[in-house]
Amino acid sequence: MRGLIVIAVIGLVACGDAHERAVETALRTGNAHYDRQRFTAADSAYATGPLDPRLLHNRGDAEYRLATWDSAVAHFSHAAELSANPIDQARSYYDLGDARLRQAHWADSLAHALDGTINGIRIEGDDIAKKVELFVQRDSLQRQRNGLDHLVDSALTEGAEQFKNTLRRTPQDEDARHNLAIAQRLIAARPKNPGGNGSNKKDEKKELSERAKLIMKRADELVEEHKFQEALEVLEQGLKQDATLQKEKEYMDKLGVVTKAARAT
Amino acid sequence: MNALRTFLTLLVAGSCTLVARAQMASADDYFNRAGKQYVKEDKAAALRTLDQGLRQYPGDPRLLKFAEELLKDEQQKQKQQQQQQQQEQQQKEKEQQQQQQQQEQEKQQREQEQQAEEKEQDPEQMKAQPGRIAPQDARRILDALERNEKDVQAKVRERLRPTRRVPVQKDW
Repeated sequence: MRGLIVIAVIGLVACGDAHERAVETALRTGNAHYDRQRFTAADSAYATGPLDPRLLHNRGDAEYRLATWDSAVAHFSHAAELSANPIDQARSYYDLGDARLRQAHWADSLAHALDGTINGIRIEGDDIAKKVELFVQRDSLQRQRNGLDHLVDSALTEGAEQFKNTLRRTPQDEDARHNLAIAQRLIAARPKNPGGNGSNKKDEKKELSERAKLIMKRADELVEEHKFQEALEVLEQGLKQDATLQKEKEYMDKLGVVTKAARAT
Repeated sequence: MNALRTFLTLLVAGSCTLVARAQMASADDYFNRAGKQYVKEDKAAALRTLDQGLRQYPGDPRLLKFAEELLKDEQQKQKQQQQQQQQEQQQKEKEQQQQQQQQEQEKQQREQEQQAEEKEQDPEQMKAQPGRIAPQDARRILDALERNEKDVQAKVRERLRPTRRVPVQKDW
C-alpha cells in the first residue's frame, strides 16, 4: 500500500513537472517573439503550450498588440477565470477592461467613418432599379453601423465592469480607478436610444375589439397567401363594422401600396 | 441505337431545364414575397427582395412600380434629412462666428485696458520694482501661463484615453 502511494506521488510530481516544463517552454519561445515585436508568432508560440492562465494571459496580450480585440478579450477572460491568485486575476481583469475600452474606441471610430459613407449615398435619379440597389446598399451599411453602436455600448459597459473586478481584488490600483472613471464618463455621454415605440404599438393592438382582432387574423392569413387585394377588402369592410380597426390604418395603407403596384402593367 | 441515345440525352436535358426553371423564382414570387415583407415586416426587407427580383427581371412593371412606390417617401425623407443637416451646419457656423467675435472683443478690451494702465504709470514706475511686476514682464508671464494652460489641456485630453500599465510581465 505504501509503495502504491509513493508511486502515485512520484507520478503526480512527474506529471506536474511535465506540465510546468511545457508551459515554460511555450512562455520562453513566445516571449522571445514578443520582445522582437513579432506578435503573431508570439501568439502562436503561447498557443502551443497546455492550458494555463499565464499562457492565456500572454496570448491576450499579443492579440491586444495586434488589435484583434475579440480574441484578446476571450483570452484575458479565460485567464482571469483560471487564475487562482487574486493579483494575477486582477491583472487579467484590468487588461480585459482595457481591451474592451479600446474595442469600444475602435468600433466608435468605424461607426463615424461609416456615417460619412452612409450620408454620401444619395437615392436619386430616374433609374428605379439603381435606386433600389442604392437603398439596399445604404440599409446594409446602416445595419452594420447600428451593430457597431451596440458593440460600443456593450464594450464600454463590460470594460467598466472589469475595472470594478480589478478594484475588488486590488483596491489600491489607481490606473484601474482612473480607467473606470473614463469608462463611466463615456457611458454617460453615449446617446440614449429612444424606446417605448414597440410597447406602444403592442398596447394599441390590445385596444382592438375581439371582433376587430378576428378580422385582423383573417387579413393576416390572406396576406400569408399573397391575396393582398382580398385582405384589403376584408379590412375595409371590417372598418365599416368596427371602428377600432382604425388603429390598423398603417397596415391598410401598406396593403393599398401593394395592391396599387400589383395593378401595374 | 444512336437515335435512342439522342432521345435519352434530349430527355435528360429537357428535364434538367424544367427542374431549373421550377427552382428559379418568378417575378410574381418576388412581388408576393416583397408584398408580404412590406406589410408584415419592414420596407427594407421588401426592397432587398425587390432588388433581387429586379436583377433577374429588370423590366418587370409590377416590381418596378412597387419599388417606385416604396422609394417615394424615401426621397421625401432624404430631402428632410438634407434640410436638417443644412440647418445644423448653418447653426454651427453661426455659433462659431459669434464665438470668434466675442473672443476678438475680449482681446481688444484687454489690450485697451493694458494700454490705459501703461499710460497711467510714469516712466520710472515702468522699471521693475521689488515686489511689483513690470507690464512687459506681466505680458510675458501671461503668455507663458496661456501656453502652460494649453499644455495642461493637451495632457487632460491625453489622460482621457485609458492608461495602460507597462507591458504585462510575460514570465510572471
